[in-house]
Amino acid sequence: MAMQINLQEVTADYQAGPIRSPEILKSISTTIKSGSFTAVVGQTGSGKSSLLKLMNGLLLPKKGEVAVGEVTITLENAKQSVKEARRKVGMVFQFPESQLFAETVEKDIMFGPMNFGVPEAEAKEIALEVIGRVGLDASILSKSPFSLSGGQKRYVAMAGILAMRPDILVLDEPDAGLDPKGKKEVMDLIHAWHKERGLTTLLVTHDMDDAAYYADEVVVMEEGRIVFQGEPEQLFADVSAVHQWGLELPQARKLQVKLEQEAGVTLPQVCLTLDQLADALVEAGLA
Amino acid sequence: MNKLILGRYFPGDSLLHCIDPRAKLIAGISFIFILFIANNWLTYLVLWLFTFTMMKISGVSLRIYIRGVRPLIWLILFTVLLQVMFTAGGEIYIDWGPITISSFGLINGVYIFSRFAMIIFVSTVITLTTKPIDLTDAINYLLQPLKRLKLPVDEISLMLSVALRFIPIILDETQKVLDAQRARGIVFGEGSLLQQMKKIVPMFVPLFVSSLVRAEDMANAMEVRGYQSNQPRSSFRRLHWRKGDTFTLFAMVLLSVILIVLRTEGHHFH
Amino acid sequence: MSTPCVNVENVFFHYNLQKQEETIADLSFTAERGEWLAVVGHNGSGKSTLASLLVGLRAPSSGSIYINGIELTEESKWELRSHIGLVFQNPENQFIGTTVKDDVAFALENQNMPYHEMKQRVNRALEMVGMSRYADHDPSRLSGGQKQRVAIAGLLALQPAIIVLDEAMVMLDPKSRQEFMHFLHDLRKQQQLTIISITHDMNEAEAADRMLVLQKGSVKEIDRPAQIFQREDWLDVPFIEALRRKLKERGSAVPDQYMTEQEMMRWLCR
Repeated sequence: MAMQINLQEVTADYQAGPIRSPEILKSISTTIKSGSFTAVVGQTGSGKSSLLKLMNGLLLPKKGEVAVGEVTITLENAKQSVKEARRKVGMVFQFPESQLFAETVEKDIMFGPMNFGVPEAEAKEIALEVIGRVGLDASILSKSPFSLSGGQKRYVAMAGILAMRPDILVLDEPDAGLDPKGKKEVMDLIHAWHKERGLTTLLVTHDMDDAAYYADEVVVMEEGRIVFQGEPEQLFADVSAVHQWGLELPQARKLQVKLEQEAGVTLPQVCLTLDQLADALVEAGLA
Repeated sequence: MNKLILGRYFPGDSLLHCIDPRAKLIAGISFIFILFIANNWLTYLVLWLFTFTMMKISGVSLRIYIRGVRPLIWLILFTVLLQVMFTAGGEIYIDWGPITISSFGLINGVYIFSRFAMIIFVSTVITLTTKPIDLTDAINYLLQPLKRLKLPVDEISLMLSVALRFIPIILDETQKVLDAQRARGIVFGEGSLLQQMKKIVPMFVPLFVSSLVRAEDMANAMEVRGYQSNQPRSSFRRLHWRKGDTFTLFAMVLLSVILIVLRTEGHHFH
Repeated sequence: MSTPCVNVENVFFHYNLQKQEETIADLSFTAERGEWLAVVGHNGSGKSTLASLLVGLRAPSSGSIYINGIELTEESKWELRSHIGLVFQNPENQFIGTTVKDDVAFALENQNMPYHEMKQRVNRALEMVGMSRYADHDPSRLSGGQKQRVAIAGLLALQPAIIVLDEAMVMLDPKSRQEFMHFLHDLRKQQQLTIISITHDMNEAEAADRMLVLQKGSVKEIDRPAQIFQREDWLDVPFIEALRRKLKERGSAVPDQYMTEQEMMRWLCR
């Protein structure tokens, strides 16, 4: 069961000690459709990660309200609503492997479900299921998470989120720091979960190729505001706007633009992936 | 943890920000001694005036200073209360056996409270207007004589400054781990004492592990960049003693002279 | 023939931390002055071990490494620290100074260099990396690309001949990665630097003069990138090569040889 996310005029800031930060999110209103895969892009400091933290109350709205499925989070009802929201929203942070702590992989994976009241026996079953789901051998369950390789740790951490059986998945650059092969594996895995379980997925990324390849919808943020929301084709068609927001083009689109300028031709469509570009080149009779 | 003001630096360009950290450190330490010269209303008034002037010059709002005292307020009130209750003399208002509330006790309580508050305010003024690294430099400089006793003063101050660099990083890291475990359903500050203690593990272990990794990386970085302990090193950071700094110390002398003139000779009260 | 800048001769290294074995077995190669050598290979092929061997953080079990003709040994390594520098993957953990300029000066302080010379060198190094404006900033508050520039400045201050990058661009987002790469290419030309870059990024490797493919701790191939991408079809390839292969699959008459972006453009516009 997937769920819709609805933000209504949400304003938020951080408070660290005596200092209140300037507003990091400024009166944001948006709807993230149930079952959609949405990429959130924008320059560093534009408020992407803060937007994600609203979804499970790690950041509370100073004004406005955040509706996650049937739960509505406001500043006033935070105590109740946040608990509810966290049950439904699985969150994968940047470098999630840094949250591992238990003596065994199994216990670490069971931590999330058991915090939400899943009985131990059932949590064990879940751990066995999800470890396979991330492509690791069941024998790893009895090992210490700190004895694993970097890549394995990341998969274990992700399994720990998956074990919470979230309806909504929010991810903050889950592929950061991996090599290209590892990046693709992680992203493919996330995309597969998304499809299989019909999740509503929000992905913060700096990689426009990821946005182009996996997302149905892209949200562009700039200085705490949403400045664009729409399909990736629509976004990357407008090259000057993309540059104005300080973003890059996906590699295929970048080459297409260069080619169109140099050769004075126009390809039949906006190409976001390697396959689309190859097809368009053949179709246009250039290759 | 986020509420403690003492030890935080507030960027600014006030007169106090520009004073050499050595001058500030010496002035701060001497202020604590100067406090003990005061023994009547007038002298305490002068000290309060001095303290408020410093707070005003620092350019940091009063609210922030007040918040700085708040975490320590119970400790202060407790001490003051003991003073009030166990000092006898003068007019007695309440007398419950060993506990008496007298005019001497009340006056003493006000004095003690003033001392505490002024020490906190003045040290807050210093830390708010001095970068921690400058304070480290000042400490390093003032400890130089101890080198003769074979104390590794330079190593200690390098250690201090590396630690200072790590504090904000570790605070960020703590926030991240807290967030990550909260997202996995842990609620800090709920449940029995035992349950709360158990919750420290998922927070502490990741922090410990990442700190170890950082420490190793940093040790490697230091070695690659040619750091060897027990080798002579030159220092790039410079402290510049200016006229204003000498004046600062002079001001402290002046303050003590004023207090000595105004203080009551002999017994506290007449 | 002039002596190569880096000469690795039959180096072996055994390293066994439980099962995470990363060994170097009979590794030999050279790098010339002013050359950009990209080192690629799967995880566990020994890439990071190679980096730590080159800068003397680890010592080979057997074989020799010569830097500018001087053999790297326990005795010579401190002197060689100013010939060869290392940039780490995580910029956060390599800073020692609390401000950008203090950090750049760290390696100079270790050489016990007089203050006025340090000052000149720090200023020049910051100019070279375009970070003079940030001299007084806290390095941990800079962006990823800026942090790595500061790290490079910290090395340049020592006027090294060789810079080793240990996956130094992994933490950067694609845009800053590209900017940083352009910057390094320019810098290398200006300063006649030798760059040995350990990387996973095939677009970066493609821009190198030569590419070294490491497999199980020894050289599988060392050649121009075009040659290697042509031969080694198991490697990830740069985008243009991926496109060429894709077009081939679609039955296009695209040439059978590896193409650079320019060549591809020319072919498409023919």
